Amino acid sequence: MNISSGSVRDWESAVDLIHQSWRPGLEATVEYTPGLLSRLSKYPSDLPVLAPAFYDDGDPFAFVIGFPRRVRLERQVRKLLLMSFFTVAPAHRGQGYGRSIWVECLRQAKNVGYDGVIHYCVEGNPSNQITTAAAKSAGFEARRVFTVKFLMRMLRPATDEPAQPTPAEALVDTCLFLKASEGLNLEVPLVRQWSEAEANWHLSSAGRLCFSDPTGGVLSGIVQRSADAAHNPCLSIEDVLWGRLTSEARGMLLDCLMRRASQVASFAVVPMLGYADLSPFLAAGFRRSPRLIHAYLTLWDTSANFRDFSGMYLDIL
Amino acid sequence: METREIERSIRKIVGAVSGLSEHADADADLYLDLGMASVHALALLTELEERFGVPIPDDQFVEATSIAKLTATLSALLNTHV
Repeated sequence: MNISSGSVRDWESAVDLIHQSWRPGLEATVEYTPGLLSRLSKYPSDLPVLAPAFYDDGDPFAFVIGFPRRVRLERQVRKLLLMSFFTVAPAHRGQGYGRSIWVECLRQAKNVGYDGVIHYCVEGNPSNQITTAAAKSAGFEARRVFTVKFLMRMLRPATDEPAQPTPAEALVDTCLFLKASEGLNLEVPLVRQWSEAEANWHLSSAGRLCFSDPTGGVLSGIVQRSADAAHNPCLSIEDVLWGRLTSEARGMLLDCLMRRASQVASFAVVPMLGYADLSPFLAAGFRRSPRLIHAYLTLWDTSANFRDFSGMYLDIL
Repeated sequence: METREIERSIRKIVGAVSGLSEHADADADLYLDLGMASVHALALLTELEERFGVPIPDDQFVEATSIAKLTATLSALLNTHV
């Protein structure tokens, strides 16, 4: 063994390690590819993507990747690192590497100017304990602030045909998207903030489907191959920005998205993040999924006492 | 319908929609222990409702995470449905 530390050097080896280490369908819900990680790493921000890693004889065996996000947290804008892709190779588990890499990422995030980090853990996964213990050992508290449930709906029968990445269909211009996101209820405790560059980046993702109503409501999601054996294409709905749409208009906008999605995806998923009314989804036949994910917030300012958010608008990685 | 028959049908449906063994431990968590994907859960719910002819409330379905719990849930629903 020749252990060294550094940063993830290439996304291909990182994805290989994810495939070896994560259980498809449970820990991984979409099929991660080097291209996806590469694109995520090019997020437009003045703060860096962080990807500390441990290597054994030059091969990565543990890493975590953090992406910059700006959020309005209790009416203050804060720079958070969205930590994800926490991976330790099975052969190296139980030796403290997970905790070490997590602490290293917290240290780097603090040094480069983030106000804290946010991350998600699947219910029942050991990462819930590892990450909270790691934060504690670094002198911080990773507070569970929200539990995300999901709604799902089948769109069309599964096929043997793998999904083809579709080009982004941004039928919504960036200005409209920004305006819709600014209209989110001020009472939502944590709300993602978008710069024009970030919104452009978001709307131009491959597989993006985005629909709007002339009066300003926006629905957007991304089609990706799922991680299960059949790799069925899945629409993950990320932005539910109703604006002032009536109940009827909300249903019609959702119907537009579903009709287009049914041409390219086998099923659709929307996280229940509490920032938007999801009754149109229930009316459209969406059902509860057993999947649960917990969101944890770690701030350097330990006097801030955030717990049990009523809702949050942030992507889930 | 007898409980044993309900469980047998559930096992067949679980196997058909997810590829898991029909002989899985009845108390094992289908998702956390056996690794069933959430998309399979949706197919499982649809198939169970079709096979047994009763609507299964979402809240009851997401709590019924093992074959044993699904059997109990469906037995109760079928009893109240009669």
